[in-house]
This record gives sequence, structure tokens and C-alpha cells, in this order.
Amino acid sequence: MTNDIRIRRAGRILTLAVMVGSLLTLASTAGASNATLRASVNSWSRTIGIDAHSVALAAQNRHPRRMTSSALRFRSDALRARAAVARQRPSTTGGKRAQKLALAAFTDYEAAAQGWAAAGRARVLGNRAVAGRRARAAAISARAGNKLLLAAGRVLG
Amino acid sequence: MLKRSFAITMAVGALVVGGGAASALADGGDAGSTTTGTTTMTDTPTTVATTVTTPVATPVTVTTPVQGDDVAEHAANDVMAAANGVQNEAIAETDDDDAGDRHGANDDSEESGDHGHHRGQGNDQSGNDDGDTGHSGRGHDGSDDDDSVLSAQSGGE
Repeated sequence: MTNDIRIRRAGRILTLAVMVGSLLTLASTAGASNATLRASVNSWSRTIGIDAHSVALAAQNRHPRRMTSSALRFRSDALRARAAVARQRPSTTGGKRAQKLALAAFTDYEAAAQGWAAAGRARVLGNRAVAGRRARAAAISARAGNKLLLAAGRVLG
Repeated sequence: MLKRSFAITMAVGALVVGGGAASALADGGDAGSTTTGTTTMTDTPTTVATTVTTPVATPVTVTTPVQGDDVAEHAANDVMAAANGVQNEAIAETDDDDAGDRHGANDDSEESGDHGHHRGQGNDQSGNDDGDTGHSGRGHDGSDDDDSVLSAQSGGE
């Protein structure tokens, strides 16, 4: 009889331990998916920053052709970044919000890069009015992308 | 009858004592001091503990010691610099033709009328850009790799 009680008690403890274990597992995987998202956003932000730096350098040195090619590289990286971030599965509400912000940021960056490339092409062709317009539009997109990326970074912590 | 019941009791007793001793030995405790009830209680949580700890070890993605905010901020700064650079490049050329050398456009071979303006600048560039062969007295080596030159240029910055 006492053994029965003990066995039942052991069963209860076992169930409790399993529940606590599964809770811990859930919490850790949630943290893991958010950490993966943060790592992805950070790594792509770095890549984007490097690309942007080369665009800036080409522009400063008055190399419209190189500026165009750098802008195109920036664009392809922005698209790849978007795809990589979209693949992530954040588990928390904050993580999902950060993902949305990052996706929007990279979309804006892609638009900005298109504008830069168009400005560079127009500049090569000598169409400066078009180049100026495209550059201004691209700057607006870039600014919007920056705001969104910074917001995503703040959410991810 | 008595013999049979005695034999059964002895067998059960031997089983209980043997089981207790075995589990106690496995736990590292004294032999024979524990009962079967307690051994089930002590043994099972340890196995649960192993299943709990393994998922915690699986998340491998703690590869970013840098704050996400910092990375995003750096990227945003670079993107803003690129946006401003492209805009300046486009705007700066709108008021005049490319004939001048105001911007320190050392090796912008794409611009018509830009050849020949670099003579006598005294910069020691080698192999600045594609199509730069028209420049005289510079010692071009014909290579397109000009990234090393960029930092040395001072006119456009």
C-alpha cells in the first residue's frame, strides 16, 4: 500500500519534472530563434554597411560607373538579406516585430540601391537632371530604411 | 503449505533486498539500506534531467557579442553617407560641364572631356580606372584595380 503511494508520488514528480523540462525547452528554443534572427540581421547589416561604404567612396571620387556597380551589389545584398531574414522564425512578439521592421528596412534599401544605380547610369549618360532626381528619391528610401533598421536593432536588443 | 509460503516469502524478500542493493550500489549509497519505492523516485529524475539539459545546449547561435543596435547604427551611417555621396555627385554636376577639375575627379574616365585634366597633379596613381590610358606621364600599368588608390585621393573628399 505504501509502495503504491510512493509509486504514485514518484509518477507525479516525474510528470512535474517533464512539464518543467518542456517549459525550459520551449523557453530556450524561443530565445534561440530570436538570437538567430538577431545574428542574421546583424550580419546582413554589416554586409549592407560595407556595400554602402563602397557606394559612398565611388560617389565621392566621382566614379559613376563604379558607383552603379556598387549600388547593384548593394541591391543584390539587400535582396539576399531580405530573403535570409524572412526565413527566420521568431517565436516572441518582439522578435516578430523586429523581423517585420528588418524586412521593411531591407526593402527600402533595395529601392534606394535601385535609385543609386539609376542615378549612376543617368550620370554616365550625361543626364544630370534625371541623376539628381533619382539620387534624391534614393536618399528618401535610404533614410526610411535606416529608421526601420535602427528600430529593428532596438527591438532585438 | 507452510513450506510453499515460506519459499515464496523468501523469494520475494531476496528480490526486494537484491533490487534495493543493486540500485543503492548504482547510486553509490549503502547496500541494503534502501527500498524499491525510493529507488524509483531517485532514479527517474536524473534521466529527466538529461533530456532537459540537452536542448539547452543545441542553440549554437550566440555568435554576436556586438550589440545589435551598434551594428544597425553603423550600417545606417554608411547608408546615409552613400545617399549623401550619390546626391552630391549628382547635384554637383548639374550646374556645370565636366570640363573642370573642381571636384578632384582624378580618374573619372567615364566623363567626356575629363581626360587631360589630371596632368601635372602630381599624384602617384598607377592603374586608376578602365579607359584611363589617355592620361599622359602617369605610368599606368593598365590594371583596373583601383581600390588601393581611393584612400590616397584627397581631392574629392
